[in-house]
Amino acid sequence: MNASQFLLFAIGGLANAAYLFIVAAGLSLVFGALRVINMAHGSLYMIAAFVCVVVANTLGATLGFWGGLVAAVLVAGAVGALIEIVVLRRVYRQEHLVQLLGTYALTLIIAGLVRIVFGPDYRTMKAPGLFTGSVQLAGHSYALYSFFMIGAAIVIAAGVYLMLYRTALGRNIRAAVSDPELLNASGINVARLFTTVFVIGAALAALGGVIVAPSQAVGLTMDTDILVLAFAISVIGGLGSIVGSVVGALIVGEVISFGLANSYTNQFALAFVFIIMAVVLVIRPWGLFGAAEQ
Amino acid sequence: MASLVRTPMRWATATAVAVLLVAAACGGTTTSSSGTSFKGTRNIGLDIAITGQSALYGHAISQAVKLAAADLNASGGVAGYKMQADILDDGTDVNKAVENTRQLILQDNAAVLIGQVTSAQCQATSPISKQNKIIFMAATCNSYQLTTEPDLINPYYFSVVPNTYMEGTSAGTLVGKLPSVKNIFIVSPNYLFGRSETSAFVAQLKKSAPDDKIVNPQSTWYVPYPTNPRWDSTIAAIQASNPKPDLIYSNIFAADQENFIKQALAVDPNFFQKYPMTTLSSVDDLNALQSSYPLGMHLYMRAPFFSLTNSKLTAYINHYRATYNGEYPSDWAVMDYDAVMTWAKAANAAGSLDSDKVSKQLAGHTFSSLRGYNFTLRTQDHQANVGETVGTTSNASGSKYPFPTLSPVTNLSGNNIIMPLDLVQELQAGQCEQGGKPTTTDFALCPSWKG
Amino acid sequence: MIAVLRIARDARVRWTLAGLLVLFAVAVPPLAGLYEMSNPDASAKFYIFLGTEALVLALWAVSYNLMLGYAGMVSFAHAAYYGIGAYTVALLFQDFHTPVLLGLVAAPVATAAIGLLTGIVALRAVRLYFSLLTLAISQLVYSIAFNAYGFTGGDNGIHNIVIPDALSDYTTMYYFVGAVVAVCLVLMFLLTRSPFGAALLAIKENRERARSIGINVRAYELAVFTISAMFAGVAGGLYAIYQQQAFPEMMYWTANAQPVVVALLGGIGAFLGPAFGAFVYTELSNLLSSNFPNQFDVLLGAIVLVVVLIVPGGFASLPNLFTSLRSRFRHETAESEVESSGESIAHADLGKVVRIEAIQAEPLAVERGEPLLVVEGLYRSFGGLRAVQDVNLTVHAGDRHAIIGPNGAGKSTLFNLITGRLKPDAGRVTFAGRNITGKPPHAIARAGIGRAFQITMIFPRLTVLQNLQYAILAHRGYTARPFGFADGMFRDEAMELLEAVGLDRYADLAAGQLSHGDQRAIELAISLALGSRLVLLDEPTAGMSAFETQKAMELVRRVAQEKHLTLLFCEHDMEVVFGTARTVTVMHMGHVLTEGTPDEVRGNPEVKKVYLGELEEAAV
Repeated sequence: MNASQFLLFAIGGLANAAYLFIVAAGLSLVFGALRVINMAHGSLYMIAAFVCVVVANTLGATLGFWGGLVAAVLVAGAVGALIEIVVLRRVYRQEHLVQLLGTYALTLIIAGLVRIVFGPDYRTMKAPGLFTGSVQLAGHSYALYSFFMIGAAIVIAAGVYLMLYRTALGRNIRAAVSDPELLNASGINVARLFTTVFVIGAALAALGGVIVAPSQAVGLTMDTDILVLAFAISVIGGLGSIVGSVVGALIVGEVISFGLANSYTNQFALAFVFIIMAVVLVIRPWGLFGAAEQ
Repeated sequence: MASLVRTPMRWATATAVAVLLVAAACGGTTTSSSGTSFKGTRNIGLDIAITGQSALYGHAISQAVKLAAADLNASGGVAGYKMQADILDDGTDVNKAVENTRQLILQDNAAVLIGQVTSAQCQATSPISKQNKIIFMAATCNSYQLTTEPDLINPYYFSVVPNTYMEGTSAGTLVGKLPSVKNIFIVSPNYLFGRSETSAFVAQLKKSAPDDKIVNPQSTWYVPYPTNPRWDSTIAAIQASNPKPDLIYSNIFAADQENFIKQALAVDPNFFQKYPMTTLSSVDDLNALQSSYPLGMHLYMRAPFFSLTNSKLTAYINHYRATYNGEYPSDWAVMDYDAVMTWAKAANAAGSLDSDKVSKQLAGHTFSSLRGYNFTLRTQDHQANVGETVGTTSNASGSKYPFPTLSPVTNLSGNNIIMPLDLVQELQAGQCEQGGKPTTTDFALCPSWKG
Repeated sequence: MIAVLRIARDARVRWTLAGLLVLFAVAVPPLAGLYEMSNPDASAKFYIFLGTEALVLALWAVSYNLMLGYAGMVSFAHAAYYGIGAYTVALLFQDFHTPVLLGLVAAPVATAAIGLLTGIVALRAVRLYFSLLTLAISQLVYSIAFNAYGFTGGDNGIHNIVIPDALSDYTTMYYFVGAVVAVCLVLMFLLTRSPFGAALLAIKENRERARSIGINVRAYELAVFTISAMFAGVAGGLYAIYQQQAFPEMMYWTANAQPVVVALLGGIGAFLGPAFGAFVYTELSNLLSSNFPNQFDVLLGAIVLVVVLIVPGGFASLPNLFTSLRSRFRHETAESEVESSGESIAHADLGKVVRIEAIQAEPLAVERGEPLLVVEGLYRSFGGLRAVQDVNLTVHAGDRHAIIGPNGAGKSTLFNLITGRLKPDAGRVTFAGRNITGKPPHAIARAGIGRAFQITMIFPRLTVLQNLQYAILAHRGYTARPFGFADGMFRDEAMELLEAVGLDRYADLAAGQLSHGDQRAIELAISLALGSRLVLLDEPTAGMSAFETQKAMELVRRVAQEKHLTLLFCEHDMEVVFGTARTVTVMHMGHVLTEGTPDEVRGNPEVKKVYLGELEEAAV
């Protein structure tokens, strides 16, 4: 493999890592602060993708994507808030199994509703004009949109980081992540904080769905496809850590990209991701950047 | 305690309700709008991909079957029965297809089954039709193994769609004839259909143009199916390939084809000029991308209406469009309509819906097709000698349709591409298997192919 | 008496329900036939087929519940073992033309082997991480099945498995499957009733406590994981037989939802709960998909959500829900409001205690007065904090040795180091001449060191009697037995002990329902029941009234004396310390400050400084 081929697969992996990171970051944040595994995270991603496609196709070429983005984030955020208030609040104190099952039930309900509302067909949308086109680099072509995805992920990562480390809300979230007991004693309105965090997580899932929608067909299996990868990334990077989500996404994205490129590993590229996930869980269960539970 | 007590009561209630419903529904005979009286109503069982990877095709297929049922009823039904399209969604999932098929047979008492989209599904559901003696009309799934592999041979299975031997070898012949094509990159879905058709292509190519080379290693030919909706790795692999491929051979379809083309064009708007591609396609696939569908693609299609002009088809197109909001009938809508009509004709000839009687009226008999010719269902493998259309996408027809059509175009005759009988016999006798393993039945291993 | 009646009624209800379920299962084919006769559009075959599905699902779900309901483990790999069972039958048939019945025998063997290997890996992680690890393993297995086209047929799966002619009749197949399922269920049931099953329940209730009564938790979890996988493999093998195919999707991680939802619907708390859920789920799925095909997902999801949020005990808990609702209407005292006075210790019969066999300490070759426990140069840090530094301590056989010190002195850490909950960074711990440094808690418990915890560590949902019985079973090594009736073993010994500590009235009540004081009494009873040579008591009188404290320590003293037990305890209550201990060690900031008799320590000015004020009070 020469340098320009390497670049080809590396950038492909980065583009994958981009949208995977955004989705995984939401899952990880929700787990870190709320200690809840949200199986419905992929469903929120899927809702956002569908809403974005429908709105974008209705609004047309120029306004489409951005209008779709806003609509998708709003809808996913609203659904997220609803989920948190109606379902999650009842299961916070219960065992993980109850949370898993409750959110799994939501996955079924949302998938069913999406099918009823949007129909069973795959849908596609065009990328925003600004990011359509291709770029020649070292003798190979790259979709400009791939670079947009990477750029968007960087911007979102920076945004989340700033939110966590420069705002009062972020401070409260970090407190929730590191010391839940203290949080109860601190006078912060915990219920409102939890809802806010969950909505942020939903918004991140939505952003992931919106960003990926122009580059692939949007269909009803999106929720389960993304979820298991988001789990893998969160485990590898560390549940509750944004830096971990970045690193985890990079690892997973590149492993898949290079795994698929190599003729010996082609069939098992995804399997490698799960092997890494298993190894991390055995050796360092809290992930590369997670905090060891006392 | 509560629920268990309810269960015997539930049986009783259900029985009571069912009896009432049956009494209400069949107080004697039902009448259609034209005043004909029927002996009763029976189901045409269609388990199809309304959702999932092949949803694109499932939509057209279910519409065609419903239309066929309505048309049959308008002309007196089938063997005196009113026909109803009983449609279940399998999500392109094999397991669900099996479940649904059992339900269609056992619970809904289907008189005939229409086959699924994917060969993996048909491979799983054909044995159920065999076990329960229900006729299975395949109009989409088309792996030749379905009718020739010893373990899969089903006397109730009939195919009105060109099978993977026919498609694959005709592609191999055509590509072999292209002088400028020496290096070929293969992209195919990793399941029975992909493997069957690709190996047929490769086997024929070896004979037609032994100097042609496949540039990617065999382990990369097949992409996991249902696929990851992202094709960037394959696109990168094509670009990185050394030597540069002169042609991409593919049989990816439906959502996969759509995704692949879109993503390739995003990487390079001239992708398909740099890397010409030949692939299986259909009107549904063309319509999915419409004006974005690349020009210059060498397609093989099973029943594109715009290339098979004949009066029957024209009438059908108008009928279909009038019923379904101006939609054009895709290849599947044509073939599945053919399938239902073929079965109905045989059932009428038999005067009965009994599968054994109808089979006798199917095997070896000739039927007319919307595709503009008559075909015969061979007794040896119940395969119809239907044709395949090959051509290159172009805008030659102007803006007549919202998608490009084929020009130049050739309609290959079924008789020229159908599997020779000696191959059929050897396959069915189990002479073409690798190391005695059943799932590796491959005509390229047959003595008469090799010899 | 009343308590006993309640349990009996509950048990009778359960057995009746179980009997009804079995009767129904046996009657499915004739019932289906009747249905078909009365309704010409219906098909008996279809319902018998559905019944077969329900049977296999029942087996799969009950095997899952072995892990979930009995050991508290949430695994995502169960679908993988189900699939492996199916593929074993399928591949043996396809590649070697093995008859399926033989394949069915091979299926559990293969799944047990793979379950054992993957379980060893999976159990390196705990709780949530264990679950995620099983998810990873399951996806790995799936991707092998899905991608290894040559081996497994890839996404096609394997079809056309030929079954014996006799089984091609739907009814015969149903009864065949039913027979296999019945045998498996009986085996699993016997297992849950055995001492092995008791150990599982103990682990689920309180892992830490289970360790400290001598149960090697990881070994038991591995055992139940493997056994559970094995039965899932049988279920998978049956699937391959009656469906005559095997697919990779059987093993996709979301397929795990089926046994889980089924178990949940039927009730995790009851052995046959999942079986009941299986029949309900199969019928429900069929009804929904026939009548509301477009809304199937939404409706099923809604039902699961309702069950999860409102009736988490599933259908099996409906009788309880019903009776508790009814009693609330009638203003009866609900079962959960137990009047436990908390003063059972006050009624303890000390005379009885000393006669009880259960507290017979095992003879050790250490004479009275000789060093029994020797701690040398023990160090333990947490990050930058040095919790224990260079601690040297000798506890002599027959002694009553107290460790005191202000908060943060390192007392609990020292206890944890001795009992194996923590590993020391450096140093040595010897017990009766044997080096026990760094050994796991269950091994140390077996060696003869018992422990009562500072926070009450009992098995809350087990009965008070079971708490004691299981402690005795574990300590005496019976828990490895997969046969026998655990709740019938050592009843008399356990009851005697309960009478001695005044808890016999509450024998059949859930331990978690008792008041705090009574729970402490159980805690004490458990540690005494273990018959250990050395008993570590971590603040034994915390939360007790003055009267209770006095009685409790009297009990402890008498038992220790009569049974030649050695005591090591840490306490904040100085009266207890000076009233009970013969040797006192003072710890401060992680190291030993001084050691001596109570009087020596009391007079030590350094100690006074460290404990400003506390000693003055005690001396008064």
